[in-house]
Amino acid sequence: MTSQAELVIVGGGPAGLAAAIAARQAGMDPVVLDDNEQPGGQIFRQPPRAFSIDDLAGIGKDNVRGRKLLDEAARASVSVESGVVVWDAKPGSLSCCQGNKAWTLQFQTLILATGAYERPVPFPGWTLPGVFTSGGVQTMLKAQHVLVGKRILLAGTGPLNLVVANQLADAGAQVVAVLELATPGISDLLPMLRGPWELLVDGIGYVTRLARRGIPIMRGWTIVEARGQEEVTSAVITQVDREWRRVAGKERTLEVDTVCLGFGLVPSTELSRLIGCEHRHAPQLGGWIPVHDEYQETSLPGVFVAGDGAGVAGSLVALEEGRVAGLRAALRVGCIDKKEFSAQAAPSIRRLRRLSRFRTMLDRISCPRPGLYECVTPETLVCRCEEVSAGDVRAVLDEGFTSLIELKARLRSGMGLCQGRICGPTLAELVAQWTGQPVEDVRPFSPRPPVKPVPMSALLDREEAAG
Amino acid sequence: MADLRIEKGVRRGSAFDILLDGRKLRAYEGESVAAAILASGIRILRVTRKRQEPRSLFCSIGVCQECLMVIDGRPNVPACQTPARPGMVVNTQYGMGEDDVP
Repeated sequence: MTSQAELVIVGGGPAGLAAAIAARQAGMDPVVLDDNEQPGGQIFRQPPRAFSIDDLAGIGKDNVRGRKLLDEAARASVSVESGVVVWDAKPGSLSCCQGNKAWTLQFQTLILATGAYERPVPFPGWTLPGVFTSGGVQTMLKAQHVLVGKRILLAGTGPLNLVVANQLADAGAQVVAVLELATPGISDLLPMLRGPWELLVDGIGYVTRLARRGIPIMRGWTIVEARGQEEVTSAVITQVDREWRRVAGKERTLEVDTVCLGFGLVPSTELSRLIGCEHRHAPQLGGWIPVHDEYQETSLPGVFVAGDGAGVAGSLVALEEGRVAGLRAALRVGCIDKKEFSAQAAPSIRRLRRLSRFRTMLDRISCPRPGLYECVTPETLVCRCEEVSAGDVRAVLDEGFTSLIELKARLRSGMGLCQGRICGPTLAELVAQWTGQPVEDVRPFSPRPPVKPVPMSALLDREEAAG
Repeated sequence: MADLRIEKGVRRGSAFDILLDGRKLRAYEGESVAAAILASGIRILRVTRKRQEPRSLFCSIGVCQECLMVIDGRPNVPACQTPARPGMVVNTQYGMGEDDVP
């Protein structure tokens, strides 16, 4: 089956929804494809429809911001198709599936708003039950209203851990500490004072509420091992230097039943890479990102990117980028003219410039430093799907191999069901460190369709359609 | 049995049972299979093929593929992305789960 649309938006998070609303208001009829049960993406994820929540604001500001955006999308009659997996992308068409139904969707313009996922950082014990990503724990909390543990340690870098620590404490968990790798000085933080104020107020709020509860934020500390037989029972933590390398003799053990890892985000670029957009390596924005102009258009005319998938920058940036991309798509198909575009996009472009100062500060503080990947021992798994250890990788590199594709051929790392999303960023860093190449010279795994697991029937349907 | 659900200010959908490794487990309309299991205090969702190590939920957003279980006879189903349904038969996945397919 084949259908057509003048604008397809992949992803129903802040960027995708903002793009759809802007395009709709400009007179287009966009289709939003989202792989979750409900739109909102990760940050604006809502509780299941069958739940009713007394105090939505109590869960956090993002739930309220998310509800507002979803209501706005509904008022603009934006059509969102939920539960749709886009598993292949070619110039001009996408392969989609929803349950056992499969179809090809041809588009005139495309906005990829595919978001990001948490940066995986391996260390001994990180595969033990009870070690979660911070975002995952937050999802369980704010959507499912389940607290995954009782005595909890958070480790990593960046603002998400501060948000989640507060939410966990609000829900009644005992938060033992928040470990923050970075040790920003006053000069690193000064750009904050130039605003935007709402981000500054949010940040101060998270820190002071933790302080009032007596939850320590330990700057310059990280986790080096999670211990336990079948589940986490303790965590070994250590002090690190400014390069995030361990300081000898500064280890401590904490009794915990849960560890949350939040080491920043990695953009989801499988579709932008499959379709053939040019990419560049931008460590402060999460790694490989699609090259785009100031109107979010990629190297492929008519293909736009917005939100964290275009470079990790948070939901406020995602909303504005989405809006610009939506208007730009409308300009491209002739729904609005150049003058209308400039007038309508101007506030967003101004706001993006203002936001970028604040983001640049946060990005600089939390940008991965050399010590981040040095906690692995030879036994530590780096590829969780295929159970490939750091020692396995080392052995292959010692034979003289220097690329990810060779590791894949020898070890199957990157061939599992996660499609290299989890091991890819780590392997690139290890190959770079151990072979003495800059990480931007290590070519990432090439995404292959299907980029997400889909039923065989979906693949067969396409083959039949292709005849 | 432990219940890690937050009750205050939350009204869930209707309650029903699913079968986890042959034993009844309470779930609510709207919950994912992973949420229902973790809420009961159980964390191990599968055991890996090579090292036979236990695994649980990790990313919770369908990216990492760590929470794979055998659900209604189908192996490799991510429990975090699968809504619980009345009478659902869920089994801990061992390896690739083929042996659990009826």
